[in-house]
Amino acid sequence: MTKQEAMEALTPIFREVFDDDSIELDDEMTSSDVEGWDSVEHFNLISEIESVFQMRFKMKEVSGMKNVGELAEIVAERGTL
Amino acid sequence: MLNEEIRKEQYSKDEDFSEEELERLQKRLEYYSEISKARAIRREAAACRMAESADASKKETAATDWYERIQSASEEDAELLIDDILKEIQSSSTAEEEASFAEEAETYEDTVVSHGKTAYVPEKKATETVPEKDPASSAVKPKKREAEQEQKRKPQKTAVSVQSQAPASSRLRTSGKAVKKLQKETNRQWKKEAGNYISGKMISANKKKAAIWNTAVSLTLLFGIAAGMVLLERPTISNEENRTLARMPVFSVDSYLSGEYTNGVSEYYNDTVPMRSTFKGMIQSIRKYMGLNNSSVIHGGVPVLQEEEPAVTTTTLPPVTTMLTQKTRTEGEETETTTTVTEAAEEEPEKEGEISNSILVVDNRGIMLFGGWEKMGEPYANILNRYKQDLPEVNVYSMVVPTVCSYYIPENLKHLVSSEKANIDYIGQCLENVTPVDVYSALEKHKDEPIYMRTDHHWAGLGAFYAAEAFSAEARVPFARIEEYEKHSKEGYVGTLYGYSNDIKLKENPEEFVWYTPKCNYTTTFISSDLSSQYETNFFANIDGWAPVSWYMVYMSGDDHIVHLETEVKNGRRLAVIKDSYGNALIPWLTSSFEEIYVIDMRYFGVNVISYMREKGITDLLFAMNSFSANGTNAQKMETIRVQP
Amino acid sequence: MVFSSLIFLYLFLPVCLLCYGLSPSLPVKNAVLMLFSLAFYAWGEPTYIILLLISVLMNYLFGLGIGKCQQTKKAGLSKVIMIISMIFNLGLLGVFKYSGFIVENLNLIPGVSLPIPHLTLPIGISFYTFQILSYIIDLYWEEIDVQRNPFHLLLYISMFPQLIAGPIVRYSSIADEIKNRKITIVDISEGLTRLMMGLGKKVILANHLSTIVDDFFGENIQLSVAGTWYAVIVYAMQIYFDFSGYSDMAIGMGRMFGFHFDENFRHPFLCKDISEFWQRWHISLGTFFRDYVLYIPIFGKRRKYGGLFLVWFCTGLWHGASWNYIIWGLYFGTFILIEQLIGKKRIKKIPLVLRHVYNKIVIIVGFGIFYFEDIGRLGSFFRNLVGLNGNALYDNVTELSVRNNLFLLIAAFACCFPLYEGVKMLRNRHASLVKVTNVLQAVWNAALLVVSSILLVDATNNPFLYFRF
Repeated sequence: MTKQEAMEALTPIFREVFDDDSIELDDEMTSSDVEGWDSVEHFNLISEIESVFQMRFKMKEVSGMKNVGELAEIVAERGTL
Repeated sequence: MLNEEIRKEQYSKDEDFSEEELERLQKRLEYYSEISKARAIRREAAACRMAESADASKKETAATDWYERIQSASEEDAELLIDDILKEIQSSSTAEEEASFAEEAETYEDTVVSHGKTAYVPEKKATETVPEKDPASSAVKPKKREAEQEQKRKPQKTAVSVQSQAPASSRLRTSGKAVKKLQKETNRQWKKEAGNYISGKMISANKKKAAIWNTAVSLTLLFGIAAGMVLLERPTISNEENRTLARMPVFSVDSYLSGEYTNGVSEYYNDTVPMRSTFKGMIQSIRKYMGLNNSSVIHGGVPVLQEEEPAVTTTTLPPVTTMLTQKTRTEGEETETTTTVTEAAEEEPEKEGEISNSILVVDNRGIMLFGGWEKMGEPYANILNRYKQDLPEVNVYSMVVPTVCSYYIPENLKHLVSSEKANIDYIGQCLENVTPVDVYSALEKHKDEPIYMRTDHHWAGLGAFYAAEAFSAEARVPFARIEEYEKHSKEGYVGTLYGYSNDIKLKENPEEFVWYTPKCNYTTTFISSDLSSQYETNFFANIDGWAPVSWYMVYMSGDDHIVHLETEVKNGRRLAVIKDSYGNALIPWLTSSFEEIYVIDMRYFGVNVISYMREKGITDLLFAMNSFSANGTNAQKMETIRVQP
Repeated sequence: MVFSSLIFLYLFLPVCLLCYGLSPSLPVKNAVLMLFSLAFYAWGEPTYIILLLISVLMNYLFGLGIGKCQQTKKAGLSKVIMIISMIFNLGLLGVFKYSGFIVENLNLIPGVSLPIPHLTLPIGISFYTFQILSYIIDLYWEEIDVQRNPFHLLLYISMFPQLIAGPIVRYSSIADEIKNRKITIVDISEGLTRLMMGLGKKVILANHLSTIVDDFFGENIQLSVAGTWYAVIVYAMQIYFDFSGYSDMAIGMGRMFGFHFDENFRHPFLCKDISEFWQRWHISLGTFFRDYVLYIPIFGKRRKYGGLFLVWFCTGLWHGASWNYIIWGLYFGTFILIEQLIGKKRIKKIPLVLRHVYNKIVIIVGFGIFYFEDIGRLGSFFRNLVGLNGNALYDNVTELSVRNNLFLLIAAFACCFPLYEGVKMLRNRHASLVKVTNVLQAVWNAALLVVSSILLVDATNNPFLYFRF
C-alpha cells in the first residue's frame, strides 16, 4: 500500500490505543505530541499494528523510528490491509 | 523516539530558566501588564467622558489627554480605545477637530493592525520549542493542552473587541463585569508569571555565583578533611571496641593479587581515623536523635526461644587409634614391639542452636539475652561427670552463675529470654556425684544490692561474694565475713556492653567499679599456660590510668595464665577452679577458706589438667562460669584440657 | 573501593579531581579519568581487571568489524559478527555469574551429577557487559558510529562513577561527550550536590535502615505479623535509598567530569501502577530490556506475552543467580501483564487511593521475595505476613523498634517524595527565596558531607547491596 493509505489505516489504531478520537496523524508526529504515549503504550501500539497489518517489525526499526511518518513507511512496505 | 524525548525534557528541566524561557516569560509579563494598563486607561477614559459631558470647556483637555495616552499606550490599548475615540469624535467635536482626530486615529489604527499581527503570537511558537515543565509528570506534554490553554485566553481578547461594537455607554457598563473577571484571571496569572519571571531572572543572574560558592564550600571540606586524614596522627587501639585497630598491610605480589593487600589498605585507612573516639561519640549522639529514646532498646534482634533441643544430628567419630610402643626384654636383648590399640570413640551428638548475641538496654542497664533451652546444659554436666570419674577422691562442685537477665528484666519483656534457672536446675539433675552450688537463690536474695554491673557483662565483686559464701557452705570450709575485706572503688566505669551494643545510654551513665581486697596474707604466682615459666606478683592489678573498659582485669590481670595462691589457712584443702572470666572475681573471697588455690582458665591451659591436679594434690575442684559459657562452646574446652596430653 | 567509604571520599576522589581539574586539555582529561578508573577497578579486582580489558579489546575489534561490514554493505557478515560478540559477552557473564546456578539446577535431573563450579564474580560485570552490548547493538543498528579509538571505548566502559553499580549508561548517550564536553562551574556544583545527596541517602538513611532489617530478618528471630510487615517496608526503603543513593553519586560524579548520565530513579514510590513503578525504578535497566529484549521477534503471534515473559525473566535473573530473583521478576511481569490486559481506560476509573494501596502492597511484598534467597525462608516469610505461622499479630519488639527509630523512619518516608523538586518549585515562584535557597543548598551539602563522614567512622557495617553485581 502507499504511505498515505498506511497513514489512513493507522489512524483508527492510534485513536483506539490512545483513547482519543481527535488524533490526526502527520509525518512529523512523535510521542511527545500525544498524551499518554509512553513505553507501555508504545508496546501496545506496536503489537496492535502488527496484528492488524499481519506484519513484524524488526527490532532495529522499533528502536530507530523517528516519527509517525517513518512508521507509516514501514507499514506501507510490509503490511497488508 | 521515546528515549530522546525523555532526555531532552530531563535536561531542559535541569536548566531552570533558559534564555528562551526567560524571553517567553518576559513577553507574557508584558502582555499581562499591558492588559492592566489598558484597563486603567479605559477607566480613566470613562471618567473623562463623564466629566466631559458635564463640562464642555474640558473637552479639549480631555481630548489631548486621550491623544497622549494613545501615543504612550501599547498597541493593545490602542485597539481598545480606537472605537471609543471614533465615537468620541462623532459625538462631540467640531469639523476641524474631527478631521485631525480622525487622521490621528487612522495612523494609530494602522499601527495597531500591523502590530496586532506580531505581538503575543510568539507565545505559541515558544511552547513548541521548550516544553512546559511539570516536575511530577512522567514523560511527555502534549501540544493539545497548550492549545487548550490558548483557547482559554482567546475568548477574553475577542470578548473585549466584540464589546467595542456596542453603543458606548452600555459598553462601559457591561465591560465592567468583563473587566473584573479578566482582572481576577489575569491578576492570578500575572502574579504567577511575574513571580516566575523575576525569580527566573534572579536565578539566572545568581546561578554562577551560587555555583561557585557551593563548589567552594564542598571542595574545601572535601580537600580539607582529606588533608587531615592523611596528615594527622592515626590511633592504634580502640578502647570502646576493646581491640587493636587495623594495621597497614605489607605489600607483596601475592597479597595484591588475592585482594588482601588492597582490602587491608582500605581497612587501615577507614579504621584508623584520627580522633576516632571523638567521632564515635558523636555518632552515638547522632543515633540518639533517630528516635524516642526513653524506652528499652534491643540490639541484635530477638532470638526464637527454643522449648527443646532442635534437631540433633549424631555423627560417629572414627575410632581413635594410638600406637603404643612396648619394650620387651628377652634374654639379653631388648626388642621394641609396637602394638596398636584401638579405642572406639565416644559418640557426641552435634547440637545446633544459639544462645543469643542480643543485648537489651533498659533503665541504662545492658542485659544479654539468654536463649538456651532447658536441656542445653547436658553436655556440660556430662563433662563434669567424667572429671569426677577421673578424680574419684576429689570433691567436685559445679557453679553455674546466672546472668543479669534472670533478675533485672522488666515484666513485659520477660518473654525475650529463656529461663536460666530451669537450665541450671536441669544441669543439677544430670550431675552424678558432683555437687551443684545453688548460686541462683543466693543472688536472688540480694538482687537489690549492686551484685551485677550495669554496663558490663560481668558480675560485681559483691555478687561473687554471695556465690562464694554459698560455695563455702557446700564445701564446708571456713569463710571470712565481708568486714575482713577492704573496699576499693573507682568512678566512671563503662564496660564491655557499651562496646557490644554501641548504645549511648550506657556510655552516658557510667557506674562505680567496686572491688574488695582481702586483709589477710597470701602469695600469688602467675604461671604460663604451658607451665614453662612463673613469677610472683600481686593478685590485684594496679588499674590506675587504665582505660575503664579494662578495669575488670583488676582480678588477676586477665585470663591467659594460671594463678596459684598460697594462704595462711592450714586445713589441707587445696582448691582448683576451672573457670571463665566470671570466676576471676570469685577467688579473693576464698583466701580464708583454702590452703592453696589453683585458678585455671579453660581457654588457656596447655597440658593435661587431670595429671596436673593429681600432681598438686587437689582436694576440691570447682567449676565456676556463667550460664553462657556452660551452655556454649567454652564448655567443650573443658573436655579438651581434660584429655589433652 | 566502595563510594561510601573514607578512603574513596578522602583519598581517591580528591586526588582524582585535582589531577582532572589541572589537566589542560580534554584528551589529557580523558586519559587521567581513564587511568584513575582503571586504578579504581584494579583496587577492587586485582586479577579480574584482565577480564575487563580483554572484553573491551574484543568488543573494540568486533565494533571495527561491524563498521567495516557496514561500509562494504556486507549485512550478513555484520550480523554474524554481532552474534559472535553477543555470545562472547553474554557467555562471559553467564560463566562467571550463572555457572554455579545452572549446574546446581542441572544436578536436580536424576542421573546428572556435575561438580559445581565456584567462580568469584568479577565486580561490575553485570553492568559493563550490558554497557558494551549497548555499543555493539546500537552500532549494528546503525544508530551510532564506530568508535575507532580503543581508549575512548575503554574510557566509556571503565569510567569509575558508573562501572561498579550503574546506572547502565548507553554508549549512544555519551558518545559525543567523550570527545566534546564543556565542564562549567554549574556542572561541578550540580554534580557535587548530587554526590552529597547520594552519600546522605546511603550513609544516613540506608545503612541505619539495614540494621533494623537485620534485627528482624536475621536467622532464627521470632516475628509477629506486624513485625514482618514493618521489616519488609523498611527493607523496601533501604534498597531504594541504597541503590538510588549510589546512582545519585554516580550521576553526580559523572556530571563533575562533564558527562550527563540519564536518570535512574524518579521517586518510584509515587507511582500509580506497577507499570509506572518500573518506569521510575532502575530506569536504565528497564529501558535496556525495553530496547534490546522486549521486541525480540521470536514469539510469533504471542509477541505480547512472549516479550513480556522474556523481559521479566531476565530482569529477575539479572539481579541474582537464585530462583527467588527470577520469581521476583516474573511476579512483577504478571502484574504488569494484568494491568495491560485491564487497559488504561478502565484503570483510570478506579479511585486513586485504591490504586496506590494496591501497588504499594504489591511492591512491598515483592521486596520480601527479593530478600529471601532461601526458598524455605521465603515461604516462612509469606506465612508470617498473614499470621499462618502461629505468630502473634503484634508484639512489643516491633513497637520498641518503631519508637527507637521514629525520626529516622519519618525522615526516610519523607525522602521518598520529591523534596528537592518541591523546594525548587517554591523558589521559582518567589524571587525572595532565590538567595536563601542558594545559601541553604551550600550549607545543606556541607552538612550532608560532614554527617555522613562522621557516620562512616563507624563503618563496620557498610554493605552496598548491589555490589555483588
